Amino acid sequence: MKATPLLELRHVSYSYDKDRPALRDVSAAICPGERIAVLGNNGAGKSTFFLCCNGILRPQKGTVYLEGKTVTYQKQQLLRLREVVCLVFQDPDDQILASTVEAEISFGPMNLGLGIPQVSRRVEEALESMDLQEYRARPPHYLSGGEKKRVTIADILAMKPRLILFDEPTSSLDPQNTARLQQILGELSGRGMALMVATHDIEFAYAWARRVLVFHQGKLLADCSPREVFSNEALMEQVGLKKPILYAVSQAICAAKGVSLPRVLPKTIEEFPTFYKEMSE
Amino acid sequence: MMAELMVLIYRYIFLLLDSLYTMTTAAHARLGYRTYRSSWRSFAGIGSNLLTRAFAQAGRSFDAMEARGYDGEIRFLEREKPVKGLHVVWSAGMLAATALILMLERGVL
Repeated sequence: MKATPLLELRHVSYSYDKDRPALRDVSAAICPGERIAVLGNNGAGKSTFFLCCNGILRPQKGTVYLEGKTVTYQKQQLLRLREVVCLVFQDPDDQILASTVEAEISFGPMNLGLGIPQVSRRVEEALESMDLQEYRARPPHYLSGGEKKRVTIADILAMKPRLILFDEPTSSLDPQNTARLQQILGELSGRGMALMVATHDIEFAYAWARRVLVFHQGKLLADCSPREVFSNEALMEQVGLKKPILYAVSQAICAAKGVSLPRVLPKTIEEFPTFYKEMSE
Repeated sequence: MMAELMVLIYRYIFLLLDSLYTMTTAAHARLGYRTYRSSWRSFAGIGSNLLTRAFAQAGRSFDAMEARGYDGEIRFLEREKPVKGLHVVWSAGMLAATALILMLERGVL
């Protein structure tokens, strides 16, 4: 892609303590509208990577660029960075701080220095997108896990960022809420937002992402399409990732028929019957 | 400043109580309250755990606030709440009661 990346990290390293670097020489560029899944085991550096993207952590080595300009970590610049790149935390209870849903969602836009009418409008829009209108006056501690997650996403939507980072969004959700979240992610990319999702859900990453980043022990081992990642057996072995079931099944069918993998593979269970029919003919 | 603190305290009291409740249940589940001695030990363990957890939580919450552009001042959208007749009656009643108590105490009446 020739366009200026929205956010770019070049040779970024960060360590919480000296002997154990959490990020080692990571470089990646994110363009508008991308759909990126970030894979890796616990402690691989995904969360640290996100915190560096959003300016919460300042890399000890390397540089972060926002829309082509170096981030210097002055107050104004940090505010600008956090306006463009927003982070949805893994645990909603870490993120939620107000005593009503409405006040909670207004926190971000208020910090952007918008006028009251504009904040009001943004809160309203965010409530509507996350289907939370009837919860507006509720205290967050009386909401369920799935509702809290939606509140934290509404928090971020109200800031109108261009890139949203999700730190393991499905880790505390039941299957129904997970499906709903995937639908939300679809809607958001439909609006042209770039999304980057850290996840352990391989099936989701395969179905949803156009690009996959694989972290292992603080290093960025792979930055390519889902298919390239999952066909790289050595990488999968090293990182301890499993293949998505649909990919493994497609592979097995092609092997049984003695044909090479076609260019387009089924990404969802709905697409599978067509693929199977084509293969059988 | 005070009002901001109140908002945060109100929010985090629930998180703290939640942790306390979970830990107490976990201690019960492992017979932590079987004897007088073990009850004290569980109590002490939970107390110290709660403190470290609170510090960790504070760190994470601060990060989350910074991530949304926190600059040292906590601002929320305030809804205008219309004053109802009942509110007026209540506050007038409270004021009158306070005045009455004061007068009784000072021996004015």
